[in-house]
Amino acid sequence: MKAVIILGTKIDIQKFLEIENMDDFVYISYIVNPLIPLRDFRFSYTSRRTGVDFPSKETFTCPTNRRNMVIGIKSLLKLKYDLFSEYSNMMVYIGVSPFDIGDNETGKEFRLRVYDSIKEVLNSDFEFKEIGELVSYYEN
Amino acid sequence: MKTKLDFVTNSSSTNFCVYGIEVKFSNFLLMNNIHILVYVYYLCSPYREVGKFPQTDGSWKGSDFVSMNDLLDNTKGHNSVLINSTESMIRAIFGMESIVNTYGEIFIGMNPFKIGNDETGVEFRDKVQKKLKSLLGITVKPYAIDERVEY
Repeated sequence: MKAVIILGTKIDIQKFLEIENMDDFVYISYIVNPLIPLRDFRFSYTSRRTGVDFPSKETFTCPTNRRNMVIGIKSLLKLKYDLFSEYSNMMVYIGVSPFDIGDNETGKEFRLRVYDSIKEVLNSDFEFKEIGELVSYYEN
Repeated sequence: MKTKLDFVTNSSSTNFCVYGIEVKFSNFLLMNNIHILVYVYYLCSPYREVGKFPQTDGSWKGSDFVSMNDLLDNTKGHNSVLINSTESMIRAIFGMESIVNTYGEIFIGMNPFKIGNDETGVEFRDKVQKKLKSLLGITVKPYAIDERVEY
């Protein structure tokens, strides 16, 4: 279990992925980010690395394998939009921790910044609210 | 809501999110005579009913309230009353949020979601620090607290 405490929104993962080109962006974010454990090195019996197994787009988007997808989503939202995200129970939580307000940023500026960033991602109306929930990791 | 944002997950745990500090509850009560404020708040609140016990004939027996020493004595069985009185007093008089966990620690601070529209992040953090210093004499710099609290 993990606490998600953010100013933001939550959206069904299927709806999230149906946003124009979102699945491609998520896939690319997963593949190119050097900081995430994406390279599934295969080891031979002699313990030598024998190859790198990148998941195909089809494998990546398979609903039974959400873990890589979640890494991709988190990576995309953090690196491109500077947003925190979490996934649980078919929902993607998107937003910013209220502790991350800038020193010289006012409450209004902070709320507007977060709202605008999420709006840029979702490109549609959404419920903008204070979220505080305990969620499970990768629960379907 | 045990403050906290309304996300109680079951009857025995909650998540508590503030910008603040953590101290031993027993030490906290002794700071700046906090225990007297807590006791006064207890006397003025519904929690004072703790000393009365219903009788079979429908009447009540017992004193209206427990003494301050009994309230503070953790062997007397008034812990939940003491904790409720303390949390209520901090909210009402200090304007801050607090919670006491089962390990005897109290977390005190302000909910970061409540930052004012025209208040900057540094002003909010300074406000919490000044409050803690003036009310409790605590000079520790507050920090982000995001605790799952069992109680």
